[in-house]
Amino acid sequence: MKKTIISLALAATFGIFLSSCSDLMETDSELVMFQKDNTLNSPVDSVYSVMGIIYKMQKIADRTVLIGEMRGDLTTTTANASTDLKTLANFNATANNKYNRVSDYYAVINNCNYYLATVDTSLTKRNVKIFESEYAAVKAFRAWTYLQLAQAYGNVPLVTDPVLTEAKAEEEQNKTKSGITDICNYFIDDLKPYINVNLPSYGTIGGYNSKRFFIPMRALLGDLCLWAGRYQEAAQYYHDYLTLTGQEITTGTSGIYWNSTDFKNFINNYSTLFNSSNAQECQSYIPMESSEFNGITSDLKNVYNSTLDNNYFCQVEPSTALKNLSKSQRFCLVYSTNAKRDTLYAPTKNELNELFVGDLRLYANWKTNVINQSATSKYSANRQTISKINSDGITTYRTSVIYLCYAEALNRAGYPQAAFAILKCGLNSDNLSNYVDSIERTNGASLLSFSQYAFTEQNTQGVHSRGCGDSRANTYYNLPEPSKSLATYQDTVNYQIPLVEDMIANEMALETQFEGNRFFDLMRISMHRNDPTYLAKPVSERSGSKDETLYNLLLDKNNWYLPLK
Amino acid sequence: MKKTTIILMMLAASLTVAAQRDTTTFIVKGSVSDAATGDPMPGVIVEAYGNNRFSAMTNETGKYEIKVPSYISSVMMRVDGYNFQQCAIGKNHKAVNARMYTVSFSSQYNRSTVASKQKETSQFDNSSAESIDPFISDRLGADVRSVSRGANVGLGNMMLINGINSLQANTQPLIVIDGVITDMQYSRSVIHDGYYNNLLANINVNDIEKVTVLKNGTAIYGAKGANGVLLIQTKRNKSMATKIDVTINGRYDLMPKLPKMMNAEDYRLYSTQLLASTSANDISGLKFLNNDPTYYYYKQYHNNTDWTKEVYHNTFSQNYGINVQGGDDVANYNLSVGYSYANSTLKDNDFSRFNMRLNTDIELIRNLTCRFDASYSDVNRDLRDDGVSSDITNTTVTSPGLLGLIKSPFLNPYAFDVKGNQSSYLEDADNYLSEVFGSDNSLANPSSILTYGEGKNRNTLGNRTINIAITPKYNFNKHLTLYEHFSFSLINTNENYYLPISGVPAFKVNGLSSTTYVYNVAESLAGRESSISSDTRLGWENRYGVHKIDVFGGVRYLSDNYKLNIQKGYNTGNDKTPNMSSSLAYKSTDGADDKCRDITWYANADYNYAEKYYCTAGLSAETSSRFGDDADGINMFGVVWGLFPSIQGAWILSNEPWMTNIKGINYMKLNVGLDISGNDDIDYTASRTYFKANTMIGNSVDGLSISNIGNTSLKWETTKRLTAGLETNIINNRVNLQFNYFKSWTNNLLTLKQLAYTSGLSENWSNNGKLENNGFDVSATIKVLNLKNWKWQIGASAGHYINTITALPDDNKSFTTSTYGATILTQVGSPVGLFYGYKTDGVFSTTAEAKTAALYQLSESGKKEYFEAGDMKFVDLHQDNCIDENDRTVIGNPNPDIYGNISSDLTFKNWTLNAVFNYSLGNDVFNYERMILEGGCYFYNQTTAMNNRWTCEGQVTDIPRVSYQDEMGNSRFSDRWIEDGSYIRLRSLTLSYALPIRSTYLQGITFWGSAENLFTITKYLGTDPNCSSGNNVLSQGIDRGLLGSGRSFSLGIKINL
Repeated sequence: MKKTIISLALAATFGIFLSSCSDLMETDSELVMFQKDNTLNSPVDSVYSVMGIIYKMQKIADRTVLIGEMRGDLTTTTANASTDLKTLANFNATANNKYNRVSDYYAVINNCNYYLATVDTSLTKRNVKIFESEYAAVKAFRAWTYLQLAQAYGNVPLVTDPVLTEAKAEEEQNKTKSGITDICNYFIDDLKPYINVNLPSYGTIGGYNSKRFFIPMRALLGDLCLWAGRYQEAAQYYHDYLTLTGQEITTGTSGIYWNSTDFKNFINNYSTLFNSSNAQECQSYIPMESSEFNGITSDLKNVYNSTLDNNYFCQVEPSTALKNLSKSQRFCLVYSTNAKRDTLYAPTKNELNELFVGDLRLYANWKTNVINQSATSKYSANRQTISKINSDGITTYRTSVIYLCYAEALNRAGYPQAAFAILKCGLNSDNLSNYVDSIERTNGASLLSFSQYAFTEQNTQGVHSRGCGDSRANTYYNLPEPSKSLATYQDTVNYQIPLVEDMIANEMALETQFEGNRFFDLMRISMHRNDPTYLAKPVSERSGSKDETLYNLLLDKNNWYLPLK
Repeated sequence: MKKTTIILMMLAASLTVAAQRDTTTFIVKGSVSDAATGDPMPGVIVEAYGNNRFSAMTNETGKYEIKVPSYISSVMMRVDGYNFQQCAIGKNHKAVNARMYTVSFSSQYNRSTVASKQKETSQFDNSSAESIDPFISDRLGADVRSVSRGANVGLGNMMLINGINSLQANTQPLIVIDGVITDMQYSRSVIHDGYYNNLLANINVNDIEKVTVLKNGTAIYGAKGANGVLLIQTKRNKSMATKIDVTINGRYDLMPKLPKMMNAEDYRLYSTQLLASTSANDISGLKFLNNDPTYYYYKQYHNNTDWTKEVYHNTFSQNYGINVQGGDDVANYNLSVGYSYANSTLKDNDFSRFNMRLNTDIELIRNLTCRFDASYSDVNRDLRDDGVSSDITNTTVTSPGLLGLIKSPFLNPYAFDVKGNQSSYLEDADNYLSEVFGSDNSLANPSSILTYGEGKNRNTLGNRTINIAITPKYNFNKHLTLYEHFSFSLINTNENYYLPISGVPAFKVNGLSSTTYVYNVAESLAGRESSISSDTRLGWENRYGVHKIDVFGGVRYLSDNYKLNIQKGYNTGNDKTPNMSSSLAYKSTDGADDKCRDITWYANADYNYAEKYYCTAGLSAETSSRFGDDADGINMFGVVWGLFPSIQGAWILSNEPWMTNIKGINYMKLNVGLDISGNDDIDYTASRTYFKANTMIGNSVDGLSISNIGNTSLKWETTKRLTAGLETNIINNRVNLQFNYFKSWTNNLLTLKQLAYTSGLSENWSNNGKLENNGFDVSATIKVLNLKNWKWQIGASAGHYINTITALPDDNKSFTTSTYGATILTQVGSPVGLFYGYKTDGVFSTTAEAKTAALYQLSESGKKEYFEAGDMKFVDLHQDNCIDENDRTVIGNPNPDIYGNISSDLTFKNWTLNAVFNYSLGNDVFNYERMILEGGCYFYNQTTAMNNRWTCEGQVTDIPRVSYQDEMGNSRFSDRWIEDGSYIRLRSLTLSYALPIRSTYLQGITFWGSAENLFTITKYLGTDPNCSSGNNVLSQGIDRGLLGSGRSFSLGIKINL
């Protein structure tokens, strides 16, 4: 009897161990959230996960600027630039370069993929799909990140499922890579259904308007179409984004301009456009932390500017090419007193400051001074401030850039007059009838409709006017016309398109200098023209003289991209 | 492995049948005498070895006669006051004579023999040590390589058994206390820098019966045994007489040897020269440079303070203990209570411990016994940061010990009043450079950190452990038993940290902007670990004539929960409010929530044939919550099991009849073994994919993102170890020689491996990499003198291992690790922990010499910076004139060639003089502290060696010029700071006297006195060559200037009632 009881007891004890091993071995933790627990079926989970994606975007934020700017022709590195930055600028960045961490892009993508695969989109509350706007926003984050990735790396694996195991990561890394056109086409289809979904809003977070953390869907679709060479669609998306009823985005009339005929005094309400991410000009941005203690900060200020952290040695300065381009613009001052009205052009030499010539935007963006400093000091005597740098956020979309892309798309879609009008006078119904002929207006009706109430003469100006005075009156700034009339209307259009595109490219340089767009703008146009010299020439001549080695290097498209590792 | 077990069992069964037929017996005769006097010894029990059913006793002439079965090959003699003696019968079984040695000598024989190799030590009397660590290092020095974690009370030693068996996971031995696997929290963090929460210091040495090192045969410890096992057994009652032991002792500790620092005038010159190398424009306004005695500030800046006196002191410690043992045939108990109060030679680092332990054995009913054990220990400490921190240049120095060395000697700890008289108020942080640097180069007043940091809620650590164990055991019959060992333990740690405002400069903190200064720090830690362990075991043993079989098997369950909360904040406002509060600035929290569960099934079989051939086979199967779901192992019951077999064999050659022809050999045992054991120190969550929340946008929201991609095949590290040993006693048992060899192969090393970039993460934990260890230990114990009154035994041991990494992840990619100023290289073909830095070749004496060499370094922006006269001449191994990372090479190896102990025990009547030496030869030490004290780049006082620094063209010296912030990296990690860490030290010298008294009330009194660390022979320049900066093997041999051990003198008394 005793033996039976004991053997029963034994069997029971051992049986418990055997049957429930896997449950017994399951542990939890309060510090991390295991995959099985992150089911994304409550609004709070969803917000945290969306913020988690933004957290990962903070890591690539600086790079979206530096990779595009350093390799362009508008800046050069100073002697004090870090080796990593120098090699990045000179197209010999290696796998170890700190600006070359492709996995950081995939970190954003993978978190998006997880969100998209997991979130319970069917969940509704009072007939409203709770996660719809976040779902669309995450799709936009993913597409935007892929666009950045493809611009920087060329052909990359297109991963759209969450990677949660090593094997899956390996498999995705080894699969056939997709180029930028394929990627854009994929995401155009991916995003289209969500075009009318509103952006999420979490109200104000830490003093920031959280609505602007999200990527504007139509603007992004415009970019994707533009890169994919789908110009008509691109122009449409940009147009629709800018003119959406109730949310119209006008160019505004901010700029830097001379306000006296002696060209000694100017008014600058241009620099303030970049003061903060809350400024009107900024449509969306990645919020950055104020100190490393709080998380991921932007280091751009230490790259561009003289700060205590870099002992006042900045690492980047405007290139000769940019200074020349800026100088070569003509500033047009429409001068009027009482009855008199006159058009003046700023002199091509100014004794006060060499930057007081041509386009004034470089002067608005870039300040230097020399301070009295002992020779042994560890601090630099030469101080530089590039006021476009704003440490609280890295802009993803801003008004003028969207207008310029709109112009590029319109031009390529066959509307060079409208495209040029964006540079010269801005678009509104009056300007359309003054600057765009009826054929173009008729053909591009849906691309060129502007509410007369929202877009007025008072809130519209050409992008060029932001730094070059009143371009409407500027006789040096005109739509290119063939010297003799061409056989057909279309021939004239075909003649104008590349020339207008050059002007747009120049305007993009003047307006978006230091913002990280230049290299990609040259790349895009070069790809559309199927002409690598369009990129190779300016970049190899950024110092003012041609660097043959660099020129030859850049004739091979493969060298445009960072090495994948 | 399974097959082997089955074959062995079958073999055993067939032998059983054979043995039952053999019933012949024979008679063994002989005499027993005292080895010292040769006098015959009556009353000695003689029994067939391993079979006490056959026994006899010697008569008054010391003769005995015993009838034993024919397979018996040796007999054993035992009597109180003498060591066991085993004696082979051999061919001439009519004269099996034995000479017995008294217990003054160490014991050479055990009552039973096992096939595996173990080494044990007991009798931890006559010492004032607070923890068992020094005994392990002094007595098992060749078996367990011990390196001190610092001389602060009870910090203990880093320990390595059988070489280094892991790279990035734990390498410290498994500690099993009274049969319970105990988590020693080896990798847990504490707030105070330079401190390690050694849980062994919670156990009173007086409570420990013995410590055993298992050198092989660790199968039942499965995935936890690869780093070796230390069994600690606490005292239990064994006799029915009530015994009361009272121990009282005190110890006087002297300050350790400290580096000789510059005096006030030398430092004034040094700091002036350093100022000249800075960008300071005008230094004429600096008050400390005005040497006019009538100057208002003259007194403030013209002292000659020895700051070490402010922070170190000679100090007294005391230990009290009482131990009561007793019982009857129903219940036995051992109760002990102890209290220790120990002071460290570093001021305000005191230790106090109260401990209580009750071990009982109760016979509940016939055949059912129960052990009930309970213990409680409460350790309280005062603490301050100690040693050089890992990034000394980024924040203010908070370690009083270091400040005591580097603080400017021309300053005074006390402030001067307006009349120029020294007041009793502590001086604030120094400001003699504030005109130039603000508070950036200001150092705290160490006396302020000690004074204002003192008190509850300031700098204290409390560590409380509770353990309760219940072990019912049922004997079905004399062969079959079943027991269940249930244990619950709780370890609570509370720590407070407070850096006062008074006397501490405003300082910067990593992560905050370079213009943000904070004024002080408050921090608190609460750690709680609760462990439940259950061990159910069924045992069976029997003897079938010549065969002896002992089998047991069972299942063990371990559950361990560890929770940690750390809070930190800056700027408490004033020194009256040291607590954590919500008003603190830059608050942060940290923590851990680690849960782990293991189940292990195990079986073990011991077999011996005729006490000549021994065999032990063991097997365990372990599963753990830390293993990945798809780990490579046996998948059963929905989880993965690792299998860990071991087999040991031993042959007692001296019991073979043919061996008795060889004169002089009394005993010889040969053993070999093969073990497969594991290391399950796997990151708790690494095998699973998880998300982590990061605070964002000014701490106002959390962002949850993928932070790990689980390696579902993550598993334990596996170590295969082959061991072989020989033990012999020769020349009438006067000499004991032991030799043990091991060779082990560890694979599946837990290492961080690069992930595919599409994962969005850089790396995760994987099982990649291999290493090997190859080593031996030898020991000899010689009874030099054995006279009636004089006995002298000397012993020596030496251990050696060679450790080699044989494979690494990512195609054997070498990697470096930066820690405490050092760069450690990990590469295939080399041992773990190599110092990897620059070689130097003196100092450029002249500009011409420097120009000729034309060596330069590249600044971060790629600018060439040329080395000039007075700069270090680094060896340009890459021969491109550029001194860069390519010129680094292996400059030192912290692994010793040989290490061990030498001991001597001399007894005269009731007097005993015991001496123990420790030594370690051939290991390199990176003197990180000296790198700071002779770096010549900050406003820190320097050692007197710096008086030889290069100051003028043509000066020939080996110390470079001073240079603020060391632009040329003259003090970079180079062979300048690598020193030979070989030493031999007289660890302790103890004289004890047992008063020859015996009355009804008093059983005995022992007086003893000892001296520790009387002398050390070493070329090492730092305080203590026996130093380790932590348990991590990648930071071995780094002297970060933690408190070194000084001489100490103890006196004690032990009363047996």
